[in-house]
Amino acid sequence: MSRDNTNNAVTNRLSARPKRLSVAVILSVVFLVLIAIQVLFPEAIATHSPITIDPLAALQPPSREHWFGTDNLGRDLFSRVVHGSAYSVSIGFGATLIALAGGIVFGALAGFGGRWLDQALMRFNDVLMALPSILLALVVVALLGTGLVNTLWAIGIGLIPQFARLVRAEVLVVRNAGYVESAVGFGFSKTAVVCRHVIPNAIHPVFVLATISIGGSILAGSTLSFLKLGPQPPAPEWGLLLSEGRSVIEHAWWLGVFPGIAISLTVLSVTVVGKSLQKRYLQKES
Amino acid sequence: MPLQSILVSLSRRVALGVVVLWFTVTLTFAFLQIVPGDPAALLFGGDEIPTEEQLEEVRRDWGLERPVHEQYLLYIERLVHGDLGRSYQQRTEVATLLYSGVWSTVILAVAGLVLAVVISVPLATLTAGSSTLLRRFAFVFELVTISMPSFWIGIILILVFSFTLNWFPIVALDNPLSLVLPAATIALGLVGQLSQVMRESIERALKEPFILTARSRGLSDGSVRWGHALKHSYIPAATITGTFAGNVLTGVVVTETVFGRPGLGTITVAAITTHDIPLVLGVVIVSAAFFVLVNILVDLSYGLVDKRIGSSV
Amino acid sequence: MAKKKFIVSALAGILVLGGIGVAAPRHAAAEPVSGGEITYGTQTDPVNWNPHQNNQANAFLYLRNIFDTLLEKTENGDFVPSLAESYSVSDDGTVYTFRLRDGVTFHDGEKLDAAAVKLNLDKANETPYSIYAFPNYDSATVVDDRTVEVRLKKPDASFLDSIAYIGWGIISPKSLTEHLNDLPSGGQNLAGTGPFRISSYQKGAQVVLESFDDYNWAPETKAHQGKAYLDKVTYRFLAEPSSRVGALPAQVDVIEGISALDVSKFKDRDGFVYLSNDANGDTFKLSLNAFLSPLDDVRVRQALRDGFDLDALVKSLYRGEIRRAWSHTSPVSPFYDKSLEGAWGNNVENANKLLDEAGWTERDSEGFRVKDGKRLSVRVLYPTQLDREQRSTLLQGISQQLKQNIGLEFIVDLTPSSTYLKEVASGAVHIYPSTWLHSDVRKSLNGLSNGGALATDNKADPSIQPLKDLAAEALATSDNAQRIKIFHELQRKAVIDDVTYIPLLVQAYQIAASNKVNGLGFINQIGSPEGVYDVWVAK
Repeated sequence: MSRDNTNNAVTNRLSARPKRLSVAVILSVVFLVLIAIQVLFPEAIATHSPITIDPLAALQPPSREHWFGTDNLGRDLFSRVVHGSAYSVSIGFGATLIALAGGIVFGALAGFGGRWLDQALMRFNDVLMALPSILLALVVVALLGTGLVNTLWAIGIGLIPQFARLVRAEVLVVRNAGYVESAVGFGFSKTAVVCRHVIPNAIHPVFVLATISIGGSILAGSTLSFLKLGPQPPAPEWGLLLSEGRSVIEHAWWLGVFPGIAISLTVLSVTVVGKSLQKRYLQKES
Repeated sequence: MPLQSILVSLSRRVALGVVVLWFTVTLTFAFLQIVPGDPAALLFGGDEIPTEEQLEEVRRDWGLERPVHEQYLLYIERLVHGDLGRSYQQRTEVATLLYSGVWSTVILAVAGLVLAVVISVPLATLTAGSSTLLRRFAFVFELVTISMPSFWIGIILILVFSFTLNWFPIVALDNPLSLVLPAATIALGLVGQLSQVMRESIERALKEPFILTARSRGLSDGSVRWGHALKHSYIPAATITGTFAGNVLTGVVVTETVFGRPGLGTITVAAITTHDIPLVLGVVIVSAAFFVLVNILVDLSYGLVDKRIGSSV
Repeated sequence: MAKKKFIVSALAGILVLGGIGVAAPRHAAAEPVSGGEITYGTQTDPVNWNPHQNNQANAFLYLRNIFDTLLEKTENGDFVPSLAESYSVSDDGTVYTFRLRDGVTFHDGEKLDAAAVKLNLDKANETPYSIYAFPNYDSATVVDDRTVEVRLKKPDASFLDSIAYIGWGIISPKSLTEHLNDLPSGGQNLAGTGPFRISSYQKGAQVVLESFDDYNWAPETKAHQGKAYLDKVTYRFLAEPSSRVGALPAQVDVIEGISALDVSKFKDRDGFVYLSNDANGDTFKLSLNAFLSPLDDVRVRQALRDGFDLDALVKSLYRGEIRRAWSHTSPVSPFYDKSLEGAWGNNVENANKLLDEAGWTERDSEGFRVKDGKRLSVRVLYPTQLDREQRSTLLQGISQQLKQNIGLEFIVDLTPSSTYLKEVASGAVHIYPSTWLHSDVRKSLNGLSNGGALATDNKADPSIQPLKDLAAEALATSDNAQRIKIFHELQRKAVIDDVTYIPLLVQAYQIAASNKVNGLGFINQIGSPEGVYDVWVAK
């Protein structure tokens, strides 16, 4: 049980198709850079205020003035999508960071803490993995309530077990490589060894999993929003925009299309980049 | 494979399953303890301020006046007897509520899963180890379906195939055709991962010596792929089936909401919005049990597909 | 000595003023046909199927098929016989005697008799079991097999409203005694005397009702007698508005709850029938907490009321399909004070002046007014599950205008249900958008006379007492002109002087159907969609 299923699954599932740095990867990176600019400087890109209403311009189809059209209060959809990217991206990054932090703590403790601690933590991990992450997310929302921050926790907690397993597996591999024992034997402190050698060596696969998780978290976040269990209006979170647009989709197709494209393209780009990273870093190991 | 080893492996699995369930139950109990506020009011849920009599009823049911460890034992004891408690909002047994939704959900989930397999198997088998146009198409198709939120897929399917083209009804639940679009929504959420994993292992198998032997015996490419390599893709695919069951559940929650179908997903979302905590806990425990069961079944099925692997597990 | 009356209402006469008249004319093109079935796409899966415990106006269309009441309210506001073939009131107004119709049976075969009615009245007045307990109900006595006598603690004009309300629907005594705990979850144990009975119920999906063949006691408010025209009706719960609209006419025959945008798909279109009806009772309005700073200053409340252009918002959102409201009370209510129309709202200049006077003179970096370092900010709590007809969008529009026009921060806090009523009752909420639909006089009066006290403990504040006294007087009086006068006074105080309510929308109900479906309509008492007893399908 040295290399876990998770790791294999990730490797299998996401093994990169393109043989070279393909057009797809380049386009994805460009798109993600655009998204990053939107997140950092929404004002510079948005053509209108995302919240200013204009009843006279309600439900206008895409035009030169309103690139993605307007919603039922006359708000500019393009500007709302641009401002909404910050929500989706922070859900993606935030949830992944929570999972990463939790995973590193649990995984390192398990991998390094001796047989009993390892067994206890990994069985606990099995339990968490046995619970579908959507259930954990729903329980967190049921008990803590909705909102952006709770959404982060709801999604992040569900991802911890994957990271914990992977980190533990990496720790065991590195540990069994022997150089830790010898380093300790040479009088280095265990902590120092862990920090300087174990973690850097384990970081690549974890990094790849994190990239993939960002995409998954964005999807999960938009799903919670769609169920009205995530960030609340008037936040222009993409899932929420779709949820709001749905009731008028027959009259205003653009409200049900552009936010969906925004989610899909972002997740797609993250996935493509993640796969490419994986190919780079993990191929030698598999 | 000797019967004895099957039994040993089965009992190990079951024991682990019991531990997982016990952990889950303990976890939900712990959740209740750490959330601030009067646990009786929390369990009662809903929007209105419960009366003292109503709170008293909750306290009696859950033994809230007793010390924590007694509450815990009471909770376990009740669950062992199959008593999931009462929903105070709906004034009904949680078990009754869940039972009312379980078949509809299972049918939907199975239909979605079957459809996913039906799409993925040919997709993976035909495109493994080749670099045809079909392979390229499959690659793009998988990537796109992975990246689209399934609720969005559902909305588009309804709009196009039900309301505009009128091919598939979604309203008439007695009509089997009403299952098509919801099942497709779930399937499209699974196809990407499933076919990638399968293709991956078929490709690995195609490089194995026994395939070369088969080819040298003059077997056609088709029968090598369909007869030998595909079988080898079962185990990795089945391994993720455990994870898939989770994705299926997510798909079910979303799909039931989008299509307005009855079932556990609808019940869950409603329970959360009405703060019906006993019902939420019931859903968690039942899903965990379901999960454990699926994993045991998947493990056992290894043995049926590949005896070598079965005996070495 | 009691005087006997057949069609008498304590409120008769004045209610005629209310009229209904908004509903499109029922098209009676051909002779009704018996037989057939329909599928009806609806918004609501009832939280609770026990009529004594259900307060969802959108669920009454099912319950009215299954249950009857002792009396029935007409379009004019009169009360006519239903399960009671006659009734009388004692001279002092405290004893009501009901004579029951003969030969009525429940779906489960039980007979309707005085004991069954007494059991129902007692249960319907038992708290916390019932949510429709009548405060002045004292007791019911079985006089003989077909006669029940109800004693009130004191005369109360709103008693007959309760009698005719579906909340006091008569349930089979067998259901009430043997299956009480099963009633909320629906199913076949839920037996009434109505024209349909439950054939099957799937939570979250649909309820199928089948015609009750013995039914032969329709009140005169109905268009026909005998059993229902339809053999079967399937109510399919489609919470998503676009699903209901998209499914008509190919997949469902009738839908209710149609958004303003979608109306044009059905209204005046070939092949469709479209009906809409203003709700009776109260309007959709903001309830202001006059005990919480900064709303404890009446000038701030006035500025808030006049700081936005409601007409423009309503017009852009609802395209003339839903009207803006002028009063706490619905314009179709007999108690509506028409003089409030045009008497308030959209006076930005004066609103700014009022805020200056109140000391909110500084501005912060975001442009909001500030006093003593505190921002002029109010929180509106609106639980998402009550959000329909784009109401949260309307609130966001108001928020935007208030920011631009008068520098007031109007935070619309949309959270899923959870604990909103507790929060409102705790007094920590500035504004609660009230969606309660009070069909009866008592509840309307209770709401009107709260003086802006949302918190439970503020409701005893002495400043509110005069309002409460007025409300009590309106209930006790038998003089309708006096009751109307008090109602007008309370409305004017609540909207103009005290600004404890800011009316927003006249709530309305809509039905659309394929034009082969005939006989659809609305419930007289509250205005929401009616059951399908009179509905028939053209061959």
